Amino acid sequence: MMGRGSGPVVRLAVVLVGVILGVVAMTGCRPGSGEEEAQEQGLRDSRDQTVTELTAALDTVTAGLPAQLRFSQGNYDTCRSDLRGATGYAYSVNGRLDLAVAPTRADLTRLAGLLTQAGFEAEVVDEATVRGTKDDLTLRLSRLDQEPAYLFSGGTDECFGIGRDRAGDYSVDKDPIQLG
Amino acid sequence: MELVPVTVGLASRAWDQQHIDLASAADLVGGATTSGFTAAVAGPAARFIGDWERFTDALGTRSEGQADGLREVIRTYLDTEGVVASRFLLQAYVEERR
Amino acid sequence: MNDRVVIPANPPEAPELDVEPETIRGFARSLRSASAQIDDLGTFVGGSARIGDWQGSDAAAYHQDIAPIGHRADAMSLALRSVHQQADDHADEMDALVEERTDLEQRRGHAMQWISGLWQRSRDLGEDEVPALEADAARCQTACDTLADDVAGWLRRVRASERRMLQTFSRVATVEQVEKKYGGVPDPADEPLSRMPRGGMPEEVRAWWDGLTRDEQLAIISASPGSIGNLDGVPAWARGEANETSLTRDVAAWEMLEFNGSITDDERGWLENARSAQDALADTRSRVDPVTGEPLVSQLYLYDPAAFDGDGRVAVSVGDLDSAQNVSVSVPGLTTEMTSIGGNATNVRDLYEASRSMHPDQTTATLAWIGYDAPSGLDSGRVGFEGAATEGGSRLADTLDGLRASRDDPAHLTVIGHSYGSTTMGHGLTDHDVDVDEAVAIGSPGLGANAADVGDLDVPDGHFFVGRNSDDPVADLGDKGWVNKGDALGAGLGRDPAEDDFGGRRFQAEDVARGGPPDWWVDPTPGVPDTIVWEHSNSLDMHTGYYDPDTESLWNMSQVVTGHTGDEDLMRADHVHDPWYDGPRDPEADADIERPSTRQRVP
Repeated sequence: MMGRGSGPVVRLAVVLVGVILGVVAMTGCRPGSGEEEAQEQGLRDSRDQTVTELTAALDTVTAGLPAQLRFSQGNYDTCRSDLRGATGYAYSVNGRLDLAVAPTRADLTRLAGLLTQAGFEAEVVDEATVRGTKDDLTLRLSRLDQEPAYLFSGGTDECFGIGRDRAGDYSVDKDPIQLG
Repeated sequence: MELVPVTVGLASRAWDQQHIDLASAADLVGGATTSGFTAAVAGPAARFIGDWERFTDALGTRSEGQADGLREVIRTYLDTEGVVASRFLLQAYVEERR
Repeated sequence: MNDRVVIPANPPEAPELDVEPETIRGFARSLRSASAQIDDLGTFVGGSARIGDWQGSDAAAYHQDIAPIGHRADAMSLALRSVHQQADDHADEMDALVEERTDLEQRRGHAMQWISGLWQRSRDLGEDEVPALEADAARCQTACDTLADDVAGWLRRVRASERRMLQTFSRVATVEQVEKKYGGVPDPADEPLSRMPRGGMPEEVRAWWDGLTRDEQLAIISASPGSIGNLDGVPAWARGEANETSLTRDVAAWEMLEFNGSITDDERGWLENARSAQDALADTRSRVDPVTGEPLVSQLYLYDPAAFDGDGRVAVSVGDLDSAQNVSVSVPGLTTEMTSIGGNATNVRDLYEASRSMHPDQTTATLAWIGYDAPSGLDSGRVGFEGAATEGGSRLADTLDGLRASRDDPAHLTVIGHSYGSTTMGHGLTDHDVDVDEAVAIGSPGLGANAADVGDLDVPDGHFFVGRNSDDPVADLGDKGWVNKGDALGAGLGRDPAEDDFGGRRFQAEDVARGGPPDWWVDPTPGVPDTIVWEHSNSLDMHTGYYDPDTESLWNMSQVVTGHTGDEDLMRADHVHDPWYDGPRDPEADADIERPSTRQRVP
């Protein structure tokens, strides 16, 4: 619930003060403890674990369908930000599996079975998508209508704070999934 | 003695700017990456950019020569006894700024 | 085994093609920027290098001396441009040849499987099976012959393309050759530039541009990129090419000054602006489309690093603005200047990737538009007033008109205003005639005093949307209640568009960190100087997450951008209500926060 009875001019003044303080805060003032390093290590660990788990799952899926991995892309998704840009990231991977023929809705049940085989709790979410979860990790595969392919994405919701001076280190992670 | 107007000084500065621009153009040419070509083309491409970096650089040097030449004209003019008018203004252009 | 049946030999392999077309395009771009720089020298010699008020023998000698420099510069510029053009064509040809080779290799794989099958069948072959095997072998032979012809033809095209490139290099290998071939040749850009409509409407500009030959268009991009780079009505591909020519040239020139220590403060600021644009383009292109896996297209739609007293002006797209079915224009707000383009490009990239993932059958392009002088730095105080938004709204309207005019097939066009950018958008939609399909205000402090309700906006009925995180203090700024206080005392930015009386369609846009700890405190860490820690809840950080992946707001915006605007297509939110007897109430403050996947297809 927002503040009762506060007129626009008062609210504007409050926010202007906030803006000024925000600009001060943006000039690089961050906690000077080991917390940043721990957060960055957490992000790196999350990345490695996500890639390991997804690689194993997609190995099972591609062998079972069968399908071929066309590409994969690692993402450092913004999950926290201030007026100057991202200050926190969550890691995820997306990509595409190519098949011999375009999958139908009926094929999703079989796909869910393969995810179960890979150790995920799987369910058909709707006519396009299967979702699998394993601990904090979620893997989704959506079929395309006209093309013989599934698009996939997987990751956790966990958000790690990263100082702006280090944000440039986390842009794109090319082809993180390498299948055997 | 022929009058040397202040515009000569302005032109010398403009030639200096051309010299800098041409030097950066030469850098652009010299820095062009040739590794994308097939083996049959990459060698001649590398030779091409090497040659053209020199051509462009030479053009820049000629620009610098024009700037220097105009400054020399100004110096000679200012060294001539009796020149009073516009001395103050021209004096600013005797030295190369960039 | 039956030796009467002749089984085809394995078909020939297409040789490896070790080539990187994108790197060749980079090579071409460097030459084009250098060509533009050299062209400027030619223009200078023919114009301001001439000193009209200088008479006498020294003056005569000077003017005689400079003429050959201009002559050579013009010739060299044209020569370099010809190499740029050939290298660009060569890259396109190589792209096609790489693709063709993949196809040939697939066909070869199939043929070899076929041949292997024939060999297996030929073992222990019964007499009655011979005719069928013979017929199949003959078909296979025909396929192998065709494939061999195609491989040979492919190889001829590779060699021919290489030859054309080599010939181009050799034709301009010496300065003498250059002067002989291009000396005194009129620049093909000059005549069409003289016909360019001055101050014309985007439609006139488009007609002029369409009337040019391809060679004339390319010549203008090379010789005079500044004349069309920001010109509304010119297609985005040409603006992008022209602006990148200027960008490359500017960075090279200012870095040269930085290197030799003579760069001025202004130039250092412009260089920082230009580098920000360069980084944003590179970052975008380092990623791939979530559906095809192809590198993302990015166009530099606006480029003016010295604009607005050095704050700069820039717009970067993700996707092809000329051909995408859906186009969105995102208008940012407070603290935005050209160096902010990286974060803004990330925002529209997230919007692009979500739109593509959620609706893979549609093509989309998203544009981060920093085309107005937003309150930033020392003039942040202007955020409380509408002046910058009024002027920005006019510039935005021009951009929207330009996007419309530069295409034959109208895109589904959405404009999105965030924060003070929504006020700017509001002025674009109230003060000007614009043609948009959808408009979205997120984190809006108001759309300006002229927008009392949705009826004042130039948006189709039912196509104005609002996303407002209930904990966003900026979105709380808009005027509410039954008395319209407008912009009393010149401060305030108009009515809250999320309020029920305004009449917009509100969608869920709660921040996942809503309702957290206090705003800020002084860092108590021993040995560390006092620093203010800005926490991401109950603060301005609640104002900045609207484009984050897997949020309600990005999901809903992607639905709008792709034209899925039915009530059942969106996560609807109830409006803010401000009863006369009490303060404003936001029902979303108690609503559950959802985490929809913005990388999952919406059936």
